[in-house]
Amino acid sequence: MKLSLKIFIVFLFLGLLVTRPSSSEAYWHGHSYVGVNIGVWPGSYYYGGPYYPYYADPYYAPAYTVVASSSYQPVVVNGVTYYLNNGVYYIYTQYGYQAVANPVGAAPTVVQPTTVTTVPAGVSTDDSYTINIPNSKGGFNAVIIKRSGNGFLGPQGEFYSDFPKVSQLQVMYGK
Amino acid sequence: MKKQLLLVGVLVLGLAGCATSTRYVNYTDQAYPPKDQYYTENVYSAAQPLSAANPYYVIGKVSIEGFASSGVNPATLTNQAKVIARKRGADAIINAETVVYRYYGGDALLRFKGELIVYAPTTK
Repeated sequence: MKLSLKIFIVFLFLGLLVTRPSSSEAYWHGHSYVGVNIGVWPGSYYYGGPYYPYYADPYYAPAYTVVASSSYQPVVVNGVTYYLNNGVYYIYTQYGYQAVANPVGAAPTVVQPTTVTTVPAGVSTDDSYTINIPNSKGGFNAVIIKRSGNGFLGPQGEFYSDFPKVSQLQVMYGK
Repeated sequence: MKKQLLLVGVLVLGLAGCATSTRYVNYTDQAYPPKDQYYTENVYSAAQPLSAANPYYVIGKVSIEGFASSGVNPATLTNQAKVIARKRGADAIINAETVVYRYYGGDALLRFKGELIVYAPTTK
């Protein structure tokens, strides 16, 4: 066997040795996977049930597309649509989300969550949970809670260290 | 021939050594001129909201992730985000956070998320 061929095979083997399926690959297959470090080729390999949460929202949309981020919650104040993200109000322009001062006026009207008249079954995915909060009109508001690190995030970006109780959510989303 | 094979080998190693994966989502069609390599990108967490008195546009969202066993740490992810921000012409990164997902077996996935902003031109 030629020396050059041997060198090529060595490089190829080394390349395979350090190659591993990335978390993104795991995402594109629809799940994330538990990693077990075998120590030899193919290195850490991922199989089994979902383990860590993933974000199946426009966050993973292909690059170079203009999308609305799910973290920007539309809010209507005095007829003007704002987007609320982490407690900051934005308006959408051709240049992106423009931060603006908190609008003065009536209490913001949360467009989402939507009001429903019947109680749908609670929906949960790996990282998000839909909870139906009784509102003052006798209906229910569907509130989506997402897992975030060791806690949970509410629709307006508020953080809960533990899964929020209905009474907690009712203060914000029971109107 | 031998040189070509060596190059192929180096390429294979190089591709295999890409320890992180990056995703970027544009919020706008608008493109901004890239910053030079010496521009300092400030990184702010969600707990550090910028003053609305200094108006800005959020132009996109970046996510970078990699495994701790590949030498990835929060600092490397943040530095990569800064590089992307410079290329995109962003003035700073806001709502930045790094989340660690621990795996059975000791490895951990680190994921940085942040949003790129450009400051709006000031009007006098």
